[in-house]
Amino acid sequence: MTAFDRFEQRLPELMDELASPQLPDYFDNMLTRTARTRQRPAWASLERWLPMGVIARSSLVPPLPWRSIGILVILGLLAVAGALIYVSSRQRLPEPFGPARNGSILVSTVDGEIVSVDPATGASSGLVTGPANDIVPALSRDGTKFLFVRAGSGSADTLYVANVDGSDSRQVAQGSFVRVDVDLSPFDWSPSGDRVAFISQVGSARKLTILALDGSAPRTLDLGLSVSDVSWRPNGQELVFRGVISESSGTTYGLYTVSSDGSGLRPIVPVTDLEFGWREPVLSPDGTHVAFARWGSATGNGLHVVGVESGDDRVVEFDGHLDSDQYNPQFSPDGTQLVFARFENGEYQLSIAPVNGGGQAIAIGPRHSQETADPFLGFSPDGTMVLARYPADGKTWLLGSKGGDDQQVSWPAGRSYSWQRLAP
Amino acid sequence: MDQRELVERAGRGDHDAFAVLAGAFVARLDAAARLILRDHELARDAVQEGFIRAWRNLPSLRDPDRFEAWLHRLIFRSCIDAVRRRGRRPIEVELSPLDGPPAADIASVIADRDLLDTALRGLDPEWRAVVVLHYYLGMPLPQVAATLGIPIGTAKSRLHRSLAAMRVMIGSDLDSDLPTVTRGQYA
Repeated sequence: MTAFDRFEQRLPELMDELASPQLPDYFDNMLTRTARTRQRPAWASLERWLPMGVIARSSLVPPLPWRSIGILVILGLLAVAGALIYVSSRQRLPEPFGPARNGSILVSTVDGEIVSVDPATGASSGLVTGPANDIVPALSRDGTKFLFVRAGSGSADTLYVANVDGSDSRQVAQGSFVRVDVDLSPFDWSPSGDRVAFISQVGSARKLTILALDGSAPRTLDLGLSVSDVSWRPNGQELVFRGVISESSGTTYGLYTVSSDGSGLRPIVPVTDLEFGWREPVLSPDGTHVAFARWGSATGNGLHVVGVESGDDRVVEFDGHLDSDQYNPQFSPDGTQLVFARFENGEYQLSIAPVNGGGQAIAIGPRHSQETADPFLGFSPDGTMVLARYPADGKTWLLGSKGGDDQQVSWPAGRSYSWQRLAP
Repeated sequence: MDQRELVERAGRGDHDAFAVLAGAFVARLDAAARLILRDHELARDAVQEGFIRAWRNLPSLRDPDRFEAWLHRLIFRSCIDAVRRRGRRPIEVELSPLDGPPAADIASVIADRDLLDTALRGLDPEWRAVVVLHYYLGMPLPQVAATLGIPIGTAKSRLHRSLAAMRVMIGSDLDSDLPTVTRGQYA
């Protein structure tokens, strides 16, 4: 019998020591929550409604120089021709937020490689390959570069940034970034692509940290609360996050915004004691609203959308929303729709509904049983498809965002994805 | 009052009966969730979510004798859900370089526990769940498979691969003087 065989025999005893069973301190609070939860949910609906605008950018077309004469005309034309050649030789970049053209999909394979896949043809090519375990690629908003983590032995990981073709990779930080259970990059790219925001563990606190990719030291903001679910606003100056404040008088939960220098911290809405009241918050592409899921509350369960500036909070209503649980909302690139996991009659079903509510939600993709973990999902940059990976069977689908046109992909098995945005 | 009667009463909306049931199971399930998730806050969320879901859906449980298995399914699927949600979200990052594994006397219980902690953290949570349900809760593999909603072959494969991975991760740190303890349940 080997030493490991003996160790294996002791697993039950060692697990008992590692996590000794005891009545958890949240037990009473949990019973309070169940006591105020109806067994047959008949959720009240909030009637408040806030139309959500989408930023419309007007393009400015400079007047053409029609009145040039003589040599000035010739020089001017030569200058224009030179400029055109220069511009056409450069890659146009998409705006950092909003709809974009679909590019390649970076796939983190189960073998610890990062490959680039053309979603139209399924053709793939390796970007980061070799014996190292390279995971969670995250493309910048302009689609020109990506971050990835090289998972080391023990807890030593390295963060790299590389060009989108895999060239010019360089190390930007070291530490313990992600574990093998992570499907999505922990880093949120700033609009300009020069910084990333993430949550760092400092003792028992979870703090907002900003890392510049120029090699300078990361900056951790001491905001006096525990931070999660952080997103940059399009202005590149502010971030939105979920915050938890634990005090002797109790724990409060809420959504906050803060400047990237740590100033101007403010709650977007009044904080509450609803532990499940602000789940999975995501920022709209125009940065004006946050969508989140609420459940376990006496009233107002379901998907919510709240204005970042106004604090106006409303439930996203659609036919049947009162009879189902909804989780994990994601905005469409134009900010007019939400895709989410819907739990109803013992099954999960992805659905799409207008952010403004009304009508029926469109069911997309296969249904999965109640006990199946809900999938990783996200819209394509152009909003016509939803990429969904179902952890129950490991299958990945491209689902038509209007219903139908679903196809199971044949790419290399992946754990996480990042879809490149290209200029329209 | 026996468990079946408690389940029936809770299913009819008797919250006191549900509290008795929850009290009977919560400590062990909380510990198992902590082992699977290796994160107290995440485990806290998952267990509460599982119990709230159990309370809400109790009227739909047709066979009260299946309550325990049904509750296990809800709790452990909540654990996997919690992992998936965390996986989709920015998570905690520790930028400070971590110390290497402590140089400890591996014959001591603390060292063994640390080795187990290291080994569990290195596993995918879905694999970890198989290990915890099998070794910690003593479930035979068919029950593990049913609880996690996976085929029996997948459960066997995950357990085998988990043990192989653990052997690679900590095998070199084990010495042959490890005392033998014949406790546990095996498939």
